[in-house]
Amino acid sequence: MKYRVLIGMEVHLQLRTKSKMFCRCPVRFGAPPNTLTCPVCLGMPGALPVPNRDAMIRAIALARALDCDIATDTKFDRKNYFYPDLPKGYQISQFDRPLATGGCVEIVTEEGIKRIRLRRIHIEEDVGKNIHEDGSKLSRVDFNRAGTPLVEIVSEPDIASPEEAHKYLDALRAVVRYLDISDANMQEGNLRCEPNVNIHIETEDGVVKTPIVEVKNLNSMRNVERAAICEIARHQELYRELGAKVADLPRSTCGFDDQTDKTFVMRQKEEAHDYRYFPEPDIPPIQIGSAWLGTANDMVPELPRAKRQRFADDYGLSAYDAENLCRERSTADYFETVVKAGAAAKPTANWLLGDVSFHAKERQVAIAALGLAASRLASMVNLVEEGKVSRKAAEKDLLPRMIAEGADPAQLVTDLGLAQVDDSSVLEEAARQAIAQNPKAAADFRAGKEKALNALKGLVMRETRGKANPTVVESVLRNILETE
Amino acid sequence: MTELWQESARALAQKVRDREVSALDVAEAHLARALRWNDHVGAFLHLEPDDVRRQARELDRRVAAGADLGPLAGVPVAIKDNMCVTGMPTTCASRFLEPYESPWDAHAITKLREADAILFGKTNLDEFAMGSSTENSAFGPTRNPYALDRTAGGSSGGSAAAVAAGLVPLALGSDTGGSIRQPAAFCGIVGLKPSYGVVSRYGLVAFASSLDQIGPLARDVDDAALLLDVIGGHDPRDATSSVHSLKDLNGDVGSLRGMRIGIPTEYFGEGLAPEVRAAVGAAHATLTGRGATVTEVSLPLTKFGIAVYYIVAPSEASSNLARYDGVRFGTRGDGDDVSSMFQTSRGDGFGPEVKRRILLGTFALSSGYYDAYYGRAQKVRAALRAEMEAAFDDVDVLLTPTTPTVAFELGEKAQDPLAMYLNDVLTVSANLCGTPAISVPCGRSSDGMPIGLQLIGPRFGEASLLRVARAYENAAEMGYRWPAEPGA
Repeated sequence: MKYRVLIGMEVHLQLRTKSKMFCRCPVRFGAPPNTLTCPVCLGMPGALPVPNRDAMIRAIALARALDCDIATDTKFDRKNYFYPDLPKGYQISQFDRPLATGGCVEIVTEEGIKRIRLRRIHIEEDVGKNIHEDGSKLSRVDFNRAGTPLVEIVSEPDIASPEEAHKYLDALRAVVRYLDISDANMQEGNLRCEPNVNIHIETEDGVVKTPIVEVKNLNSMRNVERAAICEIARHQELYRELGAKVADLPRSTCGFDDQTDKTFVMRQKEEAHDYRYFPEPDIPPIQIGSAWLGTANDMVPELPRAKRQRFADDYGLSAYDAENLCRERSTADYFETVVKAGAAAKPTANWLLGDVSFHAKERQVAIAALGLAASRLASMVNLVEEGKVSRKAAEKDLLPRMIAEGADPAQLVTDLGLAQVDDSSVLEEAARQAIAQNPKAAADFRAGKEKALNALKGLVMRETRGKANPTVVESVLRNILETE
Repeated sequence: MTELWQESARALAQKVRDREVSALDVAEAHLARALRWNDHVGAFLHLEPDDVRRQARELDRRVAAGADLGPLAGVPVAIKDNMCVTGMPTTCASRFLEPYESPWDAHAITKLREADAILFGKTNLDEFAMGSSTENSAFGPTRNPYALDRTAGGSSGGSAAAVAAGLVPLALGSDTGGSIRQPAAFCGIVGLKPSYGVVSRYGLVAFASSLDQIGPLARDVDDAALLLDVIGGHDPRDATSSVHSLKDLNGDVGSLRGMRIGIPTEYFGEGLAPEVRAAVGAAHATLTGRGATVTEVSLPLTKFGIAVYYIVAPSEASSNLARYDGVRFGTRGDGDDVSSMFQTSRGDGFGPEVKRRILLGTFALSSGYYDAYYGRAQKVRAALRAEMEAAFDDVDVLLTPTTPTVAFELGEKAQDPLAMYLNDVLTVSANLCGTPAISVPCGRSSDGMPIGLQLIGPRFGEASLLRVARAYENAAEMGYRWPAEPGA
């Protein structure tokens, strides 16, 4: 079957603002139910919404960072439907004059950089949360979340594989985190996404399009990818069963069960839900002027794409290293601080993406939040590069203590007696002993077996308790074996 | 001798400030009258004498302590029951909100408290302000103090009847399509709908957000101006609140020389009662006598006003009333699941007119109908507004009748929604255009029912509007005619 995958992504992103979108209640996760509410976000009779300027500016900054066209005139609209978690019986959203249109998210594929075009970005308010108790007919509603500012980012169906879907979200999240406008954490629900998936099958009678399926309730990027894989397989199956008639199936909404790794149909919609959108009469239309644009512009830092390029150009890093270092702005900044403190770029990148990253993951913090002073890390990197301490010793003895105790690596080297031995006269003694202990290995080497040298090197390292400089050991051994 | 309940708000506040009378004296005089009258007119939905006395005593303590007093010191003000007032119910005359008490004050109420007014009670209205006769109240109609078998008008009928009968000197109403001006005209008092955005809507239970305005009802123009001055002004909690500040609301009467008054011919068409036509005609002469020039103008789009209004208002209402779902407040109906709970809560909680308008609005906003109804209505509304604005290039105020007829009998139009809707034909334009408009008494019909004239000004033109209204009131020298004691 020859087919093309089309995925369009709808992303809802909670903005991290001091207060909610239309009232002054604080935005906070995890407070006791209904403690972060007021007449406005509870939709009490007589309460009125007033748009949050900060949220508007953050959304504009995002639109700017994604190269969107920002509307000069925008407005809010009401999206009407009944649901217990929707206090007013309508959601304040944006319909026909969204904050921004166009723009794109860039992802890196094997064929190079691919631009996923955006359709629109708009602002709306979040709803509350229904809490259902098992075995009870009773449901409760927590309105703490109601009114939290959301931006909805809708892409064109340019995403051509589940892997690209993952990359799209990754790239979008990186931009959001660079702007520092949201925690963009899928587990906590401040980044939620709904992929719209279908496939176009090439047949002898032309292209057959399977009906678009929207997948909901995805709580990780990995699950987005898995759900998309699952849907693509299901669409192929449907085509095998129904042939061209598959195109007549209604659009549907699916859920995803990550235990069984399967999607399941939640509801089929014969036609779009009628939300009876109309302009929100409580909020006059908004002109986005130069003052707001200026403030939003100032919020846009060097973005991952530009930073990656600069890291590759200025520091000679590989594309892979540059991408990984630039995923989090704080990591990229930290890298540059370490380099500025005098460490060489490449080994610094290796340390950060290797051992330092391991410790950060273990503690579940960002690299920059490990409490590892950049100057100390720089001096450790240099000690290793200059051969003053072995890489192993730095890994095992220095780094953990530097993180745990804030220790100075140079001091640790002295205190722990880790200074690498590279005095060849000292090492010659040890080398001769090793040859005496393992004459077979010496003979093998002399007979041309290069590998036999490793056994002798090992003996020297053991003798010096790992402090010998391996490069010097090798040259001393060779010198003895080849000349004597 | 003038009784305390006959005094103007200005006089009462002055007497309280001068310690000529106590706030409690003022309160008792009005309470005695209100308690006697209310059974006959049904003006109040909530009237708690002890609460009124408590407020009055507290004010008297402050008077005794030499505190600086506000402009409404000791003045009893009645409040239409669609405004949030702590310590009182806020029912909107709806079964749904019968048990509801707002935990916060509307902006206008905060302003009244700051002005040292006495919050006298909550007045009757058509349910959620939807109606023109107060017959749509879930708690019974308000009767006209001048003829108890007739309507006091609506939807601010309770406020109008209370002021007209001297139960309070001042009341707050709300006006979405004429709901202050029409009852004011029917009850022979002054009712002012300010420009959209002049009085914060924060705490006014929304009917149609783009049309609703709070405004004063009073027995003369100066009292209305005084109350407007207290409640007007920018409020950051209402995004549609204007930063425009009103000035010179209490200016001199002086002459009207140079004032240009326009008579829109479309307001004097078919269906206008001859007595109303005659009374408003006489008002031209009075104003000309004061030096104003009166010219005819034409506003041909006026005839579309009712159609536009009855699309826009129900559309907004259908959305505004969605919050009454039984989840968080008000009456919760039974149900096996969420959706049946919504249905019984709303089905039992709302009266027939509210349901009719929710249905109308839901239909008008539906996909496939939006362009034909709501979309088109918005376009006509914009044209109507442009036409009105253009008219004010040539004239300073427009003079029209407030209503086509005097107060009709209770029950007369209750079964005929369309006839009831047409009663708003002369008032809706001011709401659709956001302009200020005032109804001022201009005579009586042969059977003694009050007639009102309407003055419409340009947006934020309250000062000149009040100047003309005041000049007319002075020149007409009609005095105030108190209704006969009920049962007498």
